[in-house]
This record gives sequence, C-alpha cells and structure tokens, in this order.
Amino acid sequence: QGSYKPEYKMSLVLGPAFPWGKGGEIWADLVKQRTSGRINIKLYPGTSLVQGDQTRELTAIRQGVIDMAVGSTINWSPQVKELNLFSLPFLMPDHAAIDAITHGEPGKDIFKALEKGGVVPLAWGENGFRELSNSKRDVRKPEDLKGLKLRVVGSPLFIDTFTALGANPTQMSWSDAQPALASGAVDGQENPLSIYTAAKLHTVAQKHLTLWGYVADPLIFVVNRDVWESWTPADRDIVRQAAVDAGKQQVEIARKGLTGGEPAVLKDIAANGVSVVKLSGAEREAFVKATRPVYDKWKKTIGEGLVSKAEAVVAGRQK
Amino acid sequence: MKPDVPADAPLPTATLIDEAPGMAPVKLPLALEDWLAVLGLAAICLITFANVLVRYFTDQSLAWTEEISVFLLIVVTLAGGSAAMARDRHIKIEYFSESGSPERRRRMARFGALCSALFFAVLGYLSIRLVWDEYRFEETTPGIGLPKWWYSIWLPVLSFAIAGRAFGLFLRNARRQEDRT
Amino acid sequence: MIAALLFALFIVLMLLGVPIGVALAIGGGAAIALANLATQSFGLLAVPQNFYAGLSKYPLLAIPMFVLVGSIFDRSGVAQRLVNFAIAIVGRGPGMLPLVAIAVAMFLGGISGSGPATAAAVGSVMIAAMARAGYPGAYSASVVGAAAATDILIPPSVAFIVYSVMVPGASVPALFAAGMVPGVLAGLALIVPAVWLARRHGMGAAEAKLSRPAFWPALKDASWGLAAPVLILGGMRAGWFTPTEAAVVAVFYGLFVGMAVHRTIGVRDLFPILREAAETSAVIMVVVALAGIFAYALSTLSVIDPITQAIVNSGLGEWGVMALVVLVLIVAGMFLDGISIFLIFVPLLLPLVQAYRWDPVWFGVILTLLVALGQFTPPMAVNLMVSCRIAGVRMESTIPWVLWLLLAMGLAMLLVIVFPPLALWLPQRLGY
Ligand code: NA
Ligand code: NA
Repeated sequence: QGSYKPEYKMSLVLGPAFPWGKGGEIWADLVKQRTSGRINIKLYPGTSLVQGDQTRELTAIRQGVIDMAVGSTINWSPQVKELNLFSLPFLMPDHAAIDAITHGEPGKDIFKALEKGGVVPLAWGENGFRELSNSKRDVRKPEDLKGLKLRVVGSPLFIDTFTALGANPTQMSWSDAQPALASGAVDGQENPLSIYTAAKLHTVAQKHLTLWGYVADPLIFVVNRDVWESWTPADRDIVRQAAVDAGKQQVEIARKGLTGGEPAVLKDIAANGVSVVKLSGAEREAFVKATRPVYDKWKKTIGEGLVSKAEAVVAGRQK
Repeated sequence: MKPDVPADAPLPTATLIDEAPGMAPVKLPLALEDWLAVLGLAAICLITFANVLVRYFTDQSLAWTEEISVFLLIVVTLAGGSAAMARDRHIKIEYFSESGSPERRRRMARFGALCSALFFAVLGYLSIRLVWDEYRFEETTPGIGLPKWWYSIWLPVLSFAIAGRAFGLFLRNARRQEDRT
Repeated sequence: MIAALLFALFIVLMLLGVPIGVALAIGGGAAIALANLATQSFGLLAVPQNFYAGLSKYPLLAIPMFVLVGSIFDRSGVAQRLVNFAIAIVGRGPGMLPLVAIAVAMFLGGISGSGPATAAAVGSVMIAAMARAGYPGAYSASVVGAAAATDILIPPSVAFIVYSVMVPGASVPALFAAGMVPGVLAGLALIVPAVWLARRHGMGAAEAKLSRPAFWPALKDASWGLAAPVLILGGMRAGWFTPTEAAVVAVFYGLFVGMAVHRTIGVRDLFPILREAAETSAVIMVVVALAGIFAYALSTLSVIDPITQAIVNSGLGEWGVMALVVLVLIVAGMFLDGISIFLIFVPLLLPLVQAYRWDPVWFGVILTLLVALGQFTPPMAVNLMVSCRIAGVRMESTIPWVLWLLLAMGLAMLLVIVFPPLALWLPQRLGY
C-alpha cells in the first residue's frame, strides 16, 4: 500500500446536470462521507483530463493520468472489444434486459475483460437507450431510413448497422454535428433522450423522433489499479459499496421520466412539436431482421460465448 | 485600364519563410519533413473535398474520412513542426532574446534550442511508453477499428525528429556568424 | 507552491526566448511530475496523452485549410483585381488609396483566416502603389498592418476556431457570425484616422493624377474574387458544407481561379504553397498541442478556482474586472501572438466568464478584438512585421501612425463591450 493522494481525479463525459454526472457526484460524495475525508474526489466533466477525447479515457485511466471514472461502454469499446456487446443492434428490448446482462453472468465476464484491460471495475450505471431523430420524416420501417444522412457514433459496428438499414451514416464530431444538423448538411442523429433534450435538438429541425431502443449504453464505475491497491482493504470496500449504491441511484435517475404509462420526458418533447414514433413489436421485428447479418458478423468479433450468454439471460429475464 | 503594378508582381510571401538567416546550412535535407507535410496536407484536402463531392453527387458518404484526416493532421503538425524547428520558426518572444550583445543573443538562442531538444526527446520517450501500452492491450481505433499503434507510432518517431532538428539548431547556433542584421 | 512554480518556470523560459509551446509544456510537465511523485512514471504519461488528444480534434483541421486558403488567394491575383475594382468605384484623390487598402483587406478577410496572410496579399499590391502616389512607406505599412487585423474578426477566422475548440459553449458558426459586425465596424473605424491623417499631412497628392480604371471591365476582372466569400460564407450558411469542409472548398476554388482563370499559379508553385501553409499551421498547432499539457497541469492543480474567487470578491465589480482583463490583454498583445494569447489566457479567464455569466460568444469576440489590436501593436506585431518588410521600413517608424489606428480600433472594441448585441445580434438572427 502506498500513500493516499490529497485529491483523486474522476473523469466524466457529462456534468452533474445530467444523470451521468449526477452518478459521479453521488459516488464522490458517498466516498468522502464514508471514509471521513480520507479519499477526496474532484470531478472533471467533459473528459477534460484528455482534452475531451472520450475514446482515450480508458487508456488514460490505465496509465494513471486519470484516477477513476464513470465511463461509457461505447467509448471504451476500442480498448475492450467485449464492450461492443451493448452496441449489438436490438439485443436488449427493454430495461429489464439491460439489468439481466449487467447483473448476470455476462456482466461478470465483461468486468473480467476490463480487469484484463488494466483497470478495476466496480459497478454499473446507465446512459440510456439511443433513439433516432431526423428532420425529414417519421421512421417506422427500415425503408424509411433509405438515403437519410445520419450522424452516428463513429465506430465500425455503428457504421455497419446503419449501412445495413440503408441509411447513409456519417462520422462527425459532436461540435461539427450540431451546426450540420442546423444547416441540413446531415438529416439526423442518434443519442439518448437526455442528450436530445439537453442539446435542444428540436431547435435544429430534429422534428421526427423514433423510439426504437436499438442499442443501450450502460456506464461503468472504475478505478485505476495502482490507486486501488494504494488503499486499505477497508477503504476499498467502502469505495466499491459506494459505487454500487451510486450506480443504483444513477440508474433510477436516468430512467425516471422514461418509464411508466405516460413518460414525462416524452410529453415535454412532443410539446415542442416533435412527432414521436414508438415502434410496435411487429415494426421492431422488421428492423431486427434487417440488421441480423451485422449482428451475426459482430457476434463472432465480440465472442460467441459472451453473446450467447447474454441472449440466454435476456430471454429468461423477469419482465 | 492601367493597373498600378503588374498583376504578376513578385510574391512577397516567398520571403516570409526563408531559412534562418546567418546560420550554417542544415546537413540532413529538410526535404524529408517538407515532403511529408506537403503530402499530408494535400491528402487532407483531397479526402475532405472528395467527401463533400460524394455526399452531394451520390447517396453515400465516406464514413472513414474523419479518422484518417485527423491522423494526417497530426503528421502534418509534427513534420511541419520539425521543419519549422530547423528553420527556427517556432513562435517565441524575441523581444529580449534578440537584444543585447551578439554573444548574449547566441547564448539565448542556444538555450532555447536545447530546451526544445530536451523536451521533445522526453516526449518521444514517453510516447514510446504510450505506443507500447496500446500495442500490448491490443487497442483499436474508434472509427475504423485498425490497430491503434499504427497511428500513434508516428508520435515518438516525429518527436525524436523534432528533438534532432532542435539539437541541430543548437549546434548550428554555436557556429552562427557573429552578426546578423 | 507547485502552481507558483508552474507559472514561474513558464514565464522565465518564455522570456529567455524558449519557444512558447515548449515553455508551456516544460512548465506543465514539471508541475505534473511534482504533483504525482507517487504515481507510475510520475503521472507523466499525461504529457503524450494530452499532446496527442490536443491535436486529435476534427475542427482543428480547419486551421491548415484556412491558412492554405490565405496562401493560395495571396498568389491568385485576386487582390490586385479587387484593388482595381475598388479604385474604379471610389475614384482617385488624397486618402482614397488607404481607404481602398482597408476595404480590400476586409474583403479578403472574408476569404482568408489569418492576419499575416492578408497583410502580405494586400501589402504586395498596395504598398508600392501608395508609394508611387506619394504616401510615405511607414504610413502605408501601418494602414495595411492594421487593416489586415480585421481578418481574424471577419469570418472565416483561425482565432475563432481555436477559441471554439477551447470553449465548448461557443460553436464555430456562432462565432463566425458574431465576428461579422464587429469586424466591419473595426474596419470602418480604421478608415476615419487613415483618411484624416492622409489629408492633414497632404499625403497622396500625386494620386489624383493617376488613371482611374473603367468600372465594368474592372468588375468583370474582380468577379472571381468577389464570388469567393459568397461561396465560403454562403455555402456554410446554406448547409452545403461544414466550416471545416468550407475551407477545403475554398482551397479548390482558389486553386481554380489562380491556375485556370488568372493563371498566376503554376503547377510548380503548388509545392511551395503547400509547404508554406503546412509549416505555418504546424507552428500554430504545435502550440495548441503543447498548451494541452499546460492546461492539464493547471486544471489538476486546482489553482484557478481560488484565483477566480479572489478576483470576483475583490470589490472591483463586473466592469472593473472587464477593464482589468482588457488592460492585461493589451499588454500581453504587445508581446504575444494571438494563438498563444488564447491558449494561455482562455483557461484562466473562462471561470470569470462563468462567474459573471458573460456570453461566451461575446467574450470570444472581445478577446479576438484584443488579439487583432495586438497584431499591430509594436514591438511584437505579426501584421506590421509583414507590411514593414514589404514597405522596407523599420517598425519603429510606424509608431506615430499606428497609434491613431490603434485608438480607432480600440474605440470600436469599446462599443462591442458596451453594446453586446453588436456581436450577438447576427448569430441570434441566424439561429446559432
Ligand atoms: Na477572415
Ligand atoms: Na503585438
């Protein structure tokens, strides 16, 4: 065991104004309280410790540039290929399916992969399902996507998925994306609803929203390994439990307003003149079919064993 | 119509980036870095322009261009930065370093070059650590999914190039002609 | 303690003539190592990580592109034809050539993204012409150097791109739109002392005797140049391309005009043009990347918040703090180039902007106005350096003229500070 630092650096993509950052804040507060101030954590939203380059975050944690983080499975998938599991199109139909994976056997396998990747994973959180918006038309079937220019997360799996659906996926930094949406250089984008509302995307012509939940982005609470080993076993337990507690609260916050009979968030969005489409089971099935080849191709890359386990726990989930 | 000066008057900018005056010539040809930077910049232009054209005249887009362009930007920066080091063109406050006796000016120029050489050598060493780490953990690039070290290996290589150019500048400053107007 | 070392090391190295980027990185690196003595490699892997991450930003691609655009239009023969067209409009007489120089510099500002490139383009055409008309070299160099400073305000602008990358709340299109009115205002403000000084000192007496180009042929000749900003700014506005792509479109448009229409650029000129642009932008971006190391050290040392608190609670008040910021940046602008000013001062000033709830776009315009002033404030003044070299005069000789021009643009800046809508009306109107 080494000496404790006066302050630990926690990296976050979004600040406490968002459910994501709130989770980080709760974790930091719980740790400080329960260790009586032995472990002090400062939040760095906007992945500012790596100049905002989100895909560099996990490497930076491993190298001690960042001490801890609440990070996104999508952002870390270039480093840990198993994390692509959550980006498999239409693997998870609902929140119960996410929970079945993260809290079940597949979640443990993913934590092992992260440990092999050089960091200490502690708990799960949630960024939410990614939904589709565009300026042209309501999207109910794969054919509606034909020719739409969509800004998507720039990863090979996402590009494959949208190409399979007949859309025209474009990779673009978020800073370029917003003016591009405003000017019509691209037609649409996909993001969790919290981003859609926070970035006021209805003001940049994104008037058609499709709730299709094609992928979800769980968050993971991690600590740098050297930092972890510098703490006493008692403090490690405290930090781990705090992460689990914070993760639980964070998931609740992220889902608040999304579940229930008449979700509050959707009412607010519709009030802005946005046409909200929720896919029926049959409609969703058409998308599942269209993306099946991508799914099968990536199942091999991610690992047949892990994906099969995930499929099994999703099928057996309690609804 | 009689223009005030011929439209094809000699271009003043050509004189803006001449080699550092009053100094011994560079031994290792700067053409290495110059060509790397020029080709990189030309490639960025062509790729980005192709992307605009493809997007407008077809229904496709070249999804991979962003990652390649950003990588080329880094190559252009480091290669251009290396050439600029040899030509002593990096931004600095010359107000104090360019005043005083020739001897004092020479000493400060050598100090600046030595600091640059040391820093970029350290940067080169640390980036080897970075590249090794990315290689060992089999990291892939977020956009295309290529091995990450294919890109990042250029960082140590070109950092050492800049360090070498800075050290060369340090040596050439020692031999620099006493007076430069 | 470590924070004090960070600043002290950086300032001492910088004053000793170490390249500014290297001084920033050494100061930052030393601070990181001292603060992380117990961490693996002293936490120094943050150095390559931040260097690399600082560069891996797509919007930064616009910097070499707009520098290249400046380089190309510099040689495309456009400036000469714009000058003839402007003379055809305003006619001949004392004070007219400086007016033309300012107008053409502003117009080229709508194509090029950096001040020195515009100073070179306008200077190469205007300074010799003004000499023949009887204007002293020092005066001409001052007018051209000051006029070219409007370039970084009138979009496109490398300065705004750097600011936008550093300030997430200020998008490139919003900043570009916000710079338009203040840029034109600054240009108009320069015309007043330029013409007044010319008349008062009886300069350009020979100008009236020079021939005035015919209007229509001059318009026809200038049309390719006149269309350029329409294409660049209009295309961005119309959604044909993003700001980054707009720069590339301008590159190919400029090459087409220079190689096929005016035939001032040959195939063999391409290498020097690209080399010059690559090196100039590399010099800028090396500072951007190295400043990332400094910024990491600064944010992890947690020194900014207490300093901000101290300033906010100092009793100076909002306007007092703004006056202090302006004063500090005017002094900094005397010695530092624009990019370094942004990279050093934006991280320090941003918490103040948040504390007073200043609009980040408006603040970006003010900073850019201050940087523009710095571009022709001796002793370190990039634009004047270029124009003085073309005019063959020493920078000291420009001081009697340049002071008036500084005063005029300074007043324009004061207007933008007092009336924020001057900057913010257009972006709001355009919906950014
Ligand atoms: Na400009
Ligand atoms: Na200056």
